[in-house]
Amino acid sequence: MTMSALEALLANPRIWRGPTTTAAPGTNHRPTGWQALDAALPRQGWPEAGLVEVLSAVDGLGELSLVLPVLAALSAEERPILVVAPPYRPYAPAWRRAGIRLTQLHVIQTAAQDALWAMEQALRAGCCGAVLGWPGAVDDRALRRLQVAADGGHTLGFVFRPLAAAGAPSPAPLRLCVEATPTGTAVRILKCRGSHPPAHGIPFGRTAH
Amino acid sequence: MLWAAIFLPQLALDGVLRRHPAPERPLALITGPRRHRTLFAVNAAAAAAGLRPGLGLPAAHALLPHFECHAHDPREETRLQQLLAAWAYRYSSLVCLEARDVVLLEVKASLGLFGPWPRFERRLREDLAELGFRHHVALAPTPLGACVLAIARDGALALDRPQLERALAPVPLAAARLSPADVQALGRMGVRRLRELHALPRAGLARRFGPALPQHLERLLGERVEPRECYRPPDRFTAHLEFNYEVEHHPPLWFPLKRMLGDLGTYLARRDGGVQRFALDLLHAGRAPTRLPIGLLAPSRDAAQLFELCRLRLEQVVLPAPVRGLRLTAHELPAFVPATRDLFASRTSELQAWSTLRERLRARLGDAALWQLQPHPDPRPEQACRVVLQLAREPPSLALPPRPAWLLATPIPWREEARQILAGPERIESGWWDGEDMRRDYYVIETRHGQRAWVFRPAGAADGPWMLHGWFA
Repeated sequence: MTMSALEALLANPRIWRGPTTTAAPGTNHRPTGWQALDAALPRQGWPEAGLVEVLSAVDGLGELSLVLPVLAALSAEERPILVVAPPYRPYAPAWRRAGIRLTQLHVIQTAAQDALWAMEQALRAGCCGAVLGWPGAVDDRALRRLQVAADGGHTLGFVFRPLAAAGAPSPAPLRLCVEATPTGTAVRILKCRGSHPPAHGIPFGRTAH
Repeated sequence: MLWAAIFLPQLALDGVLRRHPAPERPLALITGPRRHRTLFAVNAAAAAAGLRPGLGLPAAHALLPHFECHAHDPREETRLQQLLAAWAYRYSSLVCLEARDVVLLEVKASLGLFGPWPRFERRLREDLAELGFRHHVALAPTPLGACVLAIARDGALALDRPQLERALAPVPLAAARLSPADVQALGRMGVRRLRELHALPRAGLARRFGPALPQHLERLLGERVEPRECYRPPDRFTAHLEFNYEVEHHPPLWFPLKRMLGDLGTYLARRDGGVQRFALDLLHAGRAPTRLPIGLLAPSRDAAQLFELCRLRLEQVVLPAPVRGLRLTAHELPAFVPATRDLFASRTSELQAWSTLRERLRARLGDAALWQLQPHPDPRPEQACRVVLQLAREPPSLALPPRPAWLLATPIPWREEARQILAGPERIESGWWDGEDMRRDYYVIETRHGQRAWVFRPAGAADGPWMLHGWFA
């Protein structure tokens, strides 16, 4: 089926058509596993490649369970998942219960400088399904390098940072923040490519596993 | 049977020149006792300046003030001959070593696979040129006949006995591998070529020179068959290189290291195997060598990948003393099956295999930096998750109450108020057999900030102190 010139022009992702239109056909995305979040993201899921920044004020609000469903899907496809310098030790029974295959899960524990190098190498290699990192206090330049590596290697990278970094500009194309509201936890999209982020937070009802 | 002989006229000199970054400069091998050093072999540039083998070292310096000297090491010749035998093993299953500088291979069985002899010979010559050795190649029905033909004339060909006799006729006795005393005695008798020697009666030769000489002639023509010990590839690889100078920084080591790893790759390819663990020794003068063990998680034989790994690890090492030599030893050589790649893979061409990335990370960060998790059927939370270097198969899943995604290495006291208790108490009472027994009641609570934490208190105490053990992230 050939597209007319007008359709080809409108399918260009640089043209913004408002948040109510569905995503143009052919863009790749991965379902997040959370229906409300899927509906709010411009591409109905995580991008196929690039950095996704997840900000949270404290640990334990659910920032990791936000990404566990897509990690489970990737590990089921036999793609390696790399966790670089996590703040705590991943606890195998819980990750397996979330559906992640432990043969595909690899953990790197090293100093901060080497952790950034390892993340960049893994993102650029293109063989990993997803790379998770806790870069700590990094500046814009390091994040820009990670973003370029993720684009070049066509890999999905998740970067977890404190909420205090929400004010600083960041090169990641998708930024979310997980915060606690009086009614429970909610996910707010701070920045996304392709449309304006929704103004209100999305309730995030994680079960007690 | 048809035997091909490869004669290496300048084996020791080629062994030095092939690893030399500038082989066109004058170079000579030195031998002899310390008081009376003579030249053993010279390369083309030195020969053009007038140096010859056998010349004394002071006279050589008078002719050509500046040329590079290397000590001649007979063990290195043996090692090179073994390397070439390993290379020849690819083309034939019967490989023999003759004297110090001839490699024999039985080719009749291999002609069906490698084509007619001209094509096969061209392949042999191309390989030898790439390895960096000057060579003569000859073909004959007997091994000794082929050896003698190769020494006498490059490219000699004899497919059956009459052709062999015709080819051997003009060969001078000096090239026929007879003992020098016999050659001299026969020369005084006026016998200088093999055709004249064949014309003499065998019984007379046996009476004058002993039984060895007629037996040698019979072996030459195939009348006497001698069993030969064939080359068997050893199950280990060793490469050794000494420098004439001291190396204090890393960059001068890369070129010789790349050559050594190239030799290892060739050896593994001919053997159809891989290497999983090898050791690189840095030799110092007056000190024990510095050993650098290098291990991979899966066998490999890609020379470029091995060089990159060696380089990454070597750059982390601070040289404790100037380096005088390198030694590479590989004792464990498991079988190797290269990973298959999908021809129609939809990913981009910059894909590295996961194993390549893993080896690079381990080379730079250390072997213990990259690990996997293995669950263990132990009720105690600390023991339920073990760290392994590589997980062989997916562990079976167990049905467990809710567990946190993050576990703290050691529980810390938690003094805040819980807004709500979501689940619990779960009593874990276990571990009496190894001294780390515990009796704890675990709860899932929600804090004031909305976090979900896994805390415990000592069993039975209704208002004991809380300890934080994990986060439900």
